[in-house]
Amino acid sequence: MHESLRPYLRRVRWMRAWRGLAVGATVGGGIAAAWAALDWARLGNVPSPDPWLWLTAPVGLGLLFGAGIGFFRKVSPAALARSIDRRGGLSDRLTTAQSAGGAFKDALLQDSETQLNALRPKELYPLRFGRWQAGAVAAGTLATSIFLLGNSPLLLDDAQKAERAELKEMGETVERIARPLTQTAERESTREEQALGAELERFARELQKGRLNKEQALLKRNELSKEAERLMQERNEATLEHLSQAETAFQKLRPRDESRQGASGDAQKLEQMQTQLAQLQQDAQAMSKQLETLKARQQGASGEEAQQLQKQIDALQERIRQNEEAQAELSEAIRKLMERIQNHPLMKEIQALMNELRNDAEATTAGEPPKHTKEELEAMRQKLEELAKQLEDDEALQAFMESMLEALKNAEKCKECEGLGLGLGLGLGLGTKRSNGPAAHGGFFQNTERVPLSEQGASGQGKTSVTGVKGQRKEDQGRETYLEIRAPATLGKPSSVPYRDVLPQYRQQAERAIDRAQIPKEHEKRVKEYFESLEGGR
Amino acid sequence: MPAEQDALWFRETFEKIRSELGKTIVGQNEIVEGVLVALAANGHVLLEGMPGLGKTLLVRSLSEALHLPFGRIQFTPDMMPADVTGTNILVQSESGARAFEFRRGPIFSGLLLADEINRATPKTQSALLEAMQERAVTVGGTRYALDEPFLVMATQNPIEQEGTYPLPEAQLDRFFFKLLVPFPTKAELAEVVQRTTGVHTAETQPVASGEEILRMRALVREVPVAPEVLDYALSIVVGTHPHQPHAAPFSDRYARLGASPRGAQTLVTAGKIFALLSGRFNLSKEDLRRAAKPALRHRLLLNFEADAEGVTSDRLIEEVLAHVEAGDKDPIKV
Repeated sequence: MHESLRPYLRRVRWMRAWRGLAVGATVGGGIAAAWAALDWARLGNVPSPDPWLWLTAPVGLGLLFGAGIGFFRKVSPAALARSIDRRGGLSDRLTTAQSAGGAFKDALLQDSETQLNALRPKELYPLRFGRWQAGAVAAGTLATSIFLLGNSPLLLDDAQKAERAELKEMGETVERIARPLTQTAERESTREEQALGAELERFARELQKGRLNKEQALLKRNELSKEAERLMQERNEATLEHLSQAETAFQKLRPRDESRQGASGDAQKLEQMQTQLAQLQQDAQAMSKQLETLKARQQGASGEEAQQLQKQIDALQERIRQNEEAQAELSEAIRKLMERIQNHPLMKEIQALMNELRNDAEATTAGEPPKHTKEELEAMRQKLEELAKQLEDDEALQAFMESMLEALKNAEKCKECEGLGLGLGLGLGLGTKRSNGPAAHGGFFQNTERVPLSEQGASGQGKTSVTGVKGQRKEDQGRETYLEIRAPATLGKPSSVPYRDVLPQYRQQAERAIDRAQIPKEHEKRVKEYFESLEGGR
Repeated sequence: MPAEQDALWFRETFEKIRSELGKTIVGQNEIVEGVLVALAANGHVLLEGMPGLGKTLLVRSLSEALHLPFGRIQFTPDMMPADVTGTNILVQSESGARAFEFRRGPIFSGLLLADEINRATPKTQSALLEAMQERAVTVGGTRYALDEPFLVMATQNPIEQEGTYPLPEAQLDRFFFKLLVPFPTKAELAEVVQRTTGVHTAETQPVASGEEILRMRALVREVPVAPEVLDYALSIVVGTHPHQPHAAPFSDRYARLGASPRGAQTLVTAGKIFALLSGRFNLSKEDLRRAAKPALRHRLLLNFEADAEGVTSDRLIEEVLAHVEAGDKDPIKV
């Protein structure tokens, strides 16, 4: 009997695996659908790139687990006998045969074997596409549909489609801007910069997926831009500090360096002359003191002693005059020698590099756009390294070179941050606060100003505030909630012009913007009402 | 193989008796089968049906087929227990000596037809029912055992209720089966008329004996029952009990009292006979379902709501069977 049941046992295992596979796929598909729904509702995020890989992962895992559990789960002989009895219409023969005794035992066993042999496992346990299999397909379809609907513009109207397309394009721009930050080695970026890079990538994904509307994108962009500027400022400060260190090192380096470049006579001479000059200066000081002493003694002296002292004073004054002449000659000689050294081509090149770097850093700190591109800074760095190879090792030289390279690195990093600041503005069609910075491209943020999240973002009269407004606007328009963003006339600078004087101009600009359809249609009325309310308060 | 031969003999004997009865009884296959099953199970049968449906003929034919003594009691309200069991009478011998002698009543028959049992008083009914259960009667302090095989076939008319004494539940419980005798179909009726009004009348020949019936009863007990199947039988019985943990919802609503333990015994015993008749050596759930209605219908007590809504015992049993069947699932889901 046990042997006769073996083929059925095998068949049951496979069929259970088939069912378990379907159950697992259904559960996995359900999880994927829930995940896709959360992604659509912006409560969760399907990681990108390769979101499909992530979505199919729970289904795949469910398949494997379900099939494994189904195949390896124990099948009791009693349960198998009952099942075969039911499916094969054996009228409880097998079930009874397993526990039977008495006079009919043998007859029953033989009868059961005969009946069992007349059946086929495949007929009793056919491969079927049942409820669970249908459920798996449904769950998979549901997950796919939800994800596709949530990420495709099918359900959007034309305006929303256009907005989605714009946001997607901007998302790609932001991603391109963020890439250098996230791809730079960790040691070259601070933790904050890495975090900013990650945040920018997330922002880019949200834009590309259309998870943000315009207002949200604007607010987020401002937040990130502010952070990028803060990091840029820090980098600038670090650049200037390293430049100062480099200058100090450079001062120490120049004489020695000159000697290494074949001007050893001048250098030694310069050194000797500087020593002589110092000696002359010391002598002059000593003689001045001696002269004062003699003059004091002469006042208290009388007759012959006073005459002798006068002679000594005259002699000393003659020596002092000669000393001064010698100092003047020596100083002139040193100045000429210094000029020669400074006019050496290598030194001039280094100094020029330093000056450029300093000017660039100072300009950036002052809020002006940098004069050098990242590529130029990289070229400068390479040039400096070449110079370093030409110069031999030396402590002072090494200190100088390290400081210079560090400053250059910072400058490059700063360039990345600057790129973020400018790039974000460019990507979203919005200029930075620098008046002479790159012009903003056309887009839905065109002709808008950056809006800080809080009043800390601006100072003086031109404060910016974001206010949530909720209430009954008019009796016939029902309740609504909207975000009112009040931006200052000039961000970051105190305004000295009364707003009423500039209001007509702003209103004209707003009207022109409305005419050019750059203000979203649903906000046109609100813009008009805003200016009307300002005029009403006149 | 002896067991197989025994089972075959059982089936053949049963069929022989059935076909012999078929010579005189037209149609009524279920009734005939039910009576034979009760006979093989050592039980008694309560027949409920209109007069003139061949109940007496059935018992008479059966007695002829089995070559057993036949007795008939037509119950009336004035009938006394002694009219059933027999009584001691004073007998004078040829020598002039007088002594009490027990005169056997009609109950001392192998096959007894208790016609319209509900017309007798409860006292007389209980005398009969006691004999049915004990297989003996006690008269004047003396116990007289009844001959085996012993089968009582009681009848009652479902229509005329005036002047009747409905059997109490405890007494109904002693009947193995309650069979509802249907009115014959037109074709069957035509056959009945043809047979009974023509020149030739069929006669039943003995085809089995009382001993063979006793052997059949012993054989029935050998049929094995799987725990799973026994559980199914008990689920049916328990399912008829209202407001119990395993009660069927329909029982909760319409039943006042469920089947007794005798109901479970009857179910299993009758199922075993059906199994043998089906050529199997084991009791199956189909056998239990087949036996459920005749075995349980007279053991259930319905409530007022069931009466009001016309719910019958058979309907209740169908619902209980459906409930139990729904709970009996394939243990292997694939």
